[in-house]
Amino acid sequence: MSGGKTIFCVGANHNTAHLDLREKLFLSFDAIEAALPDICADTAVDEVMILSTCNRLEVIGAGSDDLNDEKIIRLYQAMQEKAHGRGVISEAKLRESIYHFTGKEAVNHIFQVASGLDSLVVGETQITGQFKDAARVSRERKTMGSLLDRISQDALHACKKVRTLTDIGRKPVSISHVAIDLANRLYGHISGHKLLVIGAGEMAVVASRTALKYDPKEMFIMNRTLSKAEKLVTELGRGQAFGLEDLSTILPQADVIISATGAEEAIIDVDAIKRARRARKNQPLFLIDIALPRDIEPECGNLEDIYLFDIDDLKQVVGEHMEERRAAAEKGRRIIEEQADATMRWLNNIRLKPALSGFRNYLDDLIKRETEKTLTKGALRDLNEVQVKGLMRLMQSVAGKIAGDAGTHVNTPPEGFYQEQMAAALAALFPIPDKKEQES
Amino acid sequence: MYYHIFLILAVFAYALASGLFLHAFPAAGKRRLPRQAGFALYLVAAVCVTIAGAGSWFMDSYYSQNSGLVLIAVISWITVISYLRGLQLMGLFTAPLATLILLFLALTYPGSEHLGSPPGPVATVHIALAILGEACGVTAFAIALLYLFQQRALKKKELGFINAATPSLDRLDRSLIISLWCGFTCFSLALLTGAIYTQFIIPNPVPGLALKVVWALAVWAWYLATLLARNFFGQSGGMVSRMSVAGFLLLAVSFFGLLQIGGES
Repeated sequence: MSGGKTIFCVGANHNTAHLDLREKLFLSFDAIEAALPDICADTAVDEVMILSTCNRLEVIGAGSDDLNDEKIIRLYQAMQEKAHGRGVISEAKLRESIYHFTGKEAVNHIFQVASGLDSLVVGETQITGQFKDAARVSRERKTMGSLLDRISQDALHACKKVRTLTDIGRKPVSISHVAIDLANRLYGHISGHKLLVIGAGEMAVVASRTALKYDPKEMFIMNRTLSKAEKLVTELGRGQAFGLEDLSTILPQADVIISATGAEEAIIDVDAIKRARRARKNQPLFLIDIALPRDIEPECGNLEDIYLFDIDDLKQVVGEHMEERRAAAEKGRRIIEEQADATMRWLNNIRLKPALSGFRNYLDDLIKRETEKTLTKGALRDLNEVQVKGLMRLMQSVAGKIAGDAGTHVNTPPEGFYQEQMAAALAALFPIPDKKEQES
Repeated sequence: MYYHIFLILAVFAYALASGLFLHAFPAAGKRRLPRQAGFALYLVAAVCVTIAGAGSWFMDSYYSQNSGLVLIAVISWITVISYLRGLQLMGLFTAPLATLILLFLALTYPGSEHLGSPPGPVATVHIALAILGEACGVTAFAIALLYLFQQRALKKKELGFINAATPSLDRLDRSLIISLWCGFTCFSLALLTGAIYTQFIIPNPVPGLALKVVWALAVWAWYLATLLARNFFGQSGGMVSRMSVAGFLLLAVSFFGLLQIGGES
């Protein structure tokens, strides 16, 4: 709650909703742009942003204090019905699949989502970009006010802190990235070595792009269809393209071979590797087979100086990295908790501000009224200008002290009391105008 | 004889460092603290053995054990430099070896031959080259063992074993070849200076010389064969590592065996 506003978050994610349901929940950018003003048309909601990815649909917003759980759920439901049509998702199914948070819980959840701590692949970075996009769309559609703006900025700040202070993103967890990471570990660094990537599909593309970051000495891209290999080389801006018929020529030259083709049968057999080994004078050769079905005959791994890793071996590494990420995520959650506390303190200050500034205004009015009365009719009417100024300064100083003490007591209430109660007591004891009256 | 206190300190430090390196070894990537503590102790031991070696060399009567202390000091400093350059687990092999050699020297001291006055310049060069050659042989042995462990881990796909403390096969292979070349060069020059010394400088034949020469030639020939296997016959890193381990065993027999007979190995 803030200045009479509640921060809320309602959504469904990979933990609460099956893929079938998430597919139905998904909102395109156009649908989000259309939905945002509709949600804000509801009198209870002042600010809103929608984050829609393949793994989640979150509606984050700020609304009036009377925005209770039921209203929030109905809001989500109405948005869904508007986007997909009534009856596409049954009310019962929707209700059992969504979660909703308000106040600190909501802030905490939003920060975790933006940092990737709530993602299917813990610590992934794509979600942060998606969160930024969601905030941008909301800003463009003018459904983001100062409160959500602050929350979204704090979320990105929390995300940065988690990435800097933990090892959450240090080790890769995708097969292609792990393959390159492994090649790096096997050679200390692949910068001085020659890399052969076989295939031009998605995994091969990711592996090639990742490998380029480590600046291998030479990079060969090989594919059954030469034009595809050439296209990839052009995209990468580096490397040499070969057709599969050049395999026997290139094989002895490469120090690391990453194979990711869609071939039905193995394309590298034991004999080819034996020939390459002889040509390499028994220098170690690392084969990383990330294809399914496998591209390299498993027996190749039995040869001396040949080290073969297949997709199962890499999955083992992915599992280890995931485990490390989970440990880092625990640390990240503690950081998020601290950041959420800081944001909540800011929100509380905003909430208490009307009462405290109203009290100060009341004191100023009181001084003005009473001084005028005393100086025109009372015993002090003969004071000169300098004396009047001095008296005014004294009165304002006393008012400042009283307002300051009141602020301290409201912000740090005695045990058993809440800040809201103290602010309400202040408003009840003195005739403080409410926010709308103050604005008018 | 005040430097003996450093010798005792060195034995304890090497023994403790061995324990810490052994503890760190199975999960070297994660157990950084024992590895670093092991290195700190190893460094202390290296300093102690250097002081003791220098003390024994310059202040004590010249016994054949003195060159043993100098050898340990040289190996220790090679290990320290290797640690700082990324080969962080060499101490796993050189620390227990240093402990064993020191205990062996302590048990035999001063029972071996007393060589009397310090040797002349040719003999000093010969001894220094022999010590350097032996140190390189020990270094090659330690690297070869790391290579074989690494190779085994890769074959068994224990990918968790590959980490910063266990450098890549490629790097181990290069370090191994450098150690072998350095060792071989030192041995060759030591044999040459030894031949000059025995032929032209000493008046009477040294007892047990023939056996020493045979062993020294055997060790030299083995290292030559190892280098030929690698550079001319393209043998694999694994084979060269196994040959280096065998070379070290020859060297050890030469060192310990001939110390018992007396004189420099």
